[in-house]
Amino acid sequence: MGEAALSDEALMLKYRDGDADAFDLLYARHKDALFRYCLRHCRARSSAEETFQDVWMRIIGARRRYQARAKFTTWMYRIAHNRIIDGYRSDHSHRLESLDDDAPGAAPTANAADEPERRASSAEQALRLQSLLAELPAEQRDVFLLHEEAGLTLEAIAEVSGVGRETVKSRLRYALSKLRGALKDAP
Amino acid sequence: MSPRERDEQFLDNYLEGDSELSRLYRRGAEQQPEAQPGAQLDARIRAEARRAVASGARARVVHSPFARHWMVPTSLAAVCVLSLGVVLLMPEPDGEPGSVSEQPREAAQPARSDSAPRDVQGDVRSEVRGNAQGDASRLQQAPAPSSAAASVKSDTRSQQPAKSEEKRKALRSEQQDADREALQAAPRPAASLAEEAAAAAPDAPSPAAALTFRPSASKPVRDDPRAWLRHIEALLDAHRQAQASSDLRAFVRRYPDVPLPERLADLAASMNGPPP
Repeated sequence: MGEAALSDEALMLKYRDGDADAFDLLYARHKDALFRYCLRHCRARSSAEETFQDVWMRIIGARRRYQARAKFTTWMYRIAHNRIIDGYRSDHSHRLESLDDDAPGAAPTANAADEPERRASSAEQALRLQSLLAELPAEQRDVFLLHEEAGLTLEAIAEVSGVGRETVKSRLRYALSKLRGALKDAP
Repeated sequence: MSPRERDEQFLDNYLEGDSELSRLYRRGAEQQPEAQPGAQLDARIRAEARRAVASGARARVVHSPFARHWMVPTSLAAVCVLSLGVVLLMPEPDGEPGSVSEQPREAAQPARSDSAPRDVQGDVRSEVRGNAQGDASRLQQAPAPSSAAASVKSDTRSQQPAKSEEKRKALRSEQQDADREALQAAPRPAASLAEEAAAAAPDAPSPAAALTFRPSASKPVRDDPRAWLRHIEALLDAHRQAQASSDLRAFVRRYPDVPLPERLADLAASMNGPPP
């Protein structure tokens, strides 16, 4: 069986045991999604690159302790999530919103007036979605990205975020509601 | 359907992958080639991953899972084997290291007939012990080297469990040969005493073993300063000058406050330099 058919966990174990090629394969599988996850959170590309590199450095550094107890993606995105939280805390320009799950918060407003042709194509709508996503509270954005980029379930997102499943579900519900409403309301 | 129920329905569909929002998001990701790490960043991370593997290769050999798993049990087994080996090879505590000889106790045991039952041997030995104790002082004065204490001690030793019977037999036969030679070479008084002991207990261990000279004091003798001094004097009587000097030096080192008999004081003075 070739390495390409191996699971993420098996590849990470091989890398832990000294197979650098296994790491290359693992990296190729996840680099784009992880980079987008970092980019959507950090907004600035340089900051996203720094975060992205730091996450992989932590994975490399923790390889000896790695045990396939959980999915590799859950482990990796937990590292990324923690790194991003640290970034938020150290960066005063970004404040981690304290999310009240009972209050949906301000719906993101689209600067639609500057984009008269935004509905002309789905491509434009896709771009607009990126803009709306950036305006979501960090926790809601995080939940949405963990599902979209990492493909994590509610339970896995809860594990990554360190909160309960229902909290994750509530955050996701609010995020979807806001995004859907903003896209629908856009002229 | 209330807005809340609509949201729930939308959430369920979204989680199942049936969502226009998801498709829109993925399309946006595809449209953003810049939303990928650069080639330089890729190369940097991969190089770091390889460097980490190369630098950790040695540590991995030492701390491989197999080694980690077996390190402790193997160490314990090695310690047990070494300890057991040392205990088996170690001579029984008979004397102290130094000038005092550390003969295995088997070597000091008198020869005896292996055909005799053990209980008979024990009875006979107790009789011999009485004779030997009585003769001990005379034996010390005899020209031939002798040590009644050896035969006395051999009796107590015989009560301890035999650890390696074969080894003892081999040593015993050697001892018998040596005893026979010593007996033949011994002057008459020692030989006659041996014959008396043999006559008293024909099946007892050969008294010749009791006549075998032990060149130095055993631990019980050393623990008693007076007995040790007598032993040193016996050595002098047996013309064992070097052994007597060595023992005297050890005696002075151990009992610096015990006054020496005149004869031994002269010897101590005649030794090279002051006694340590």
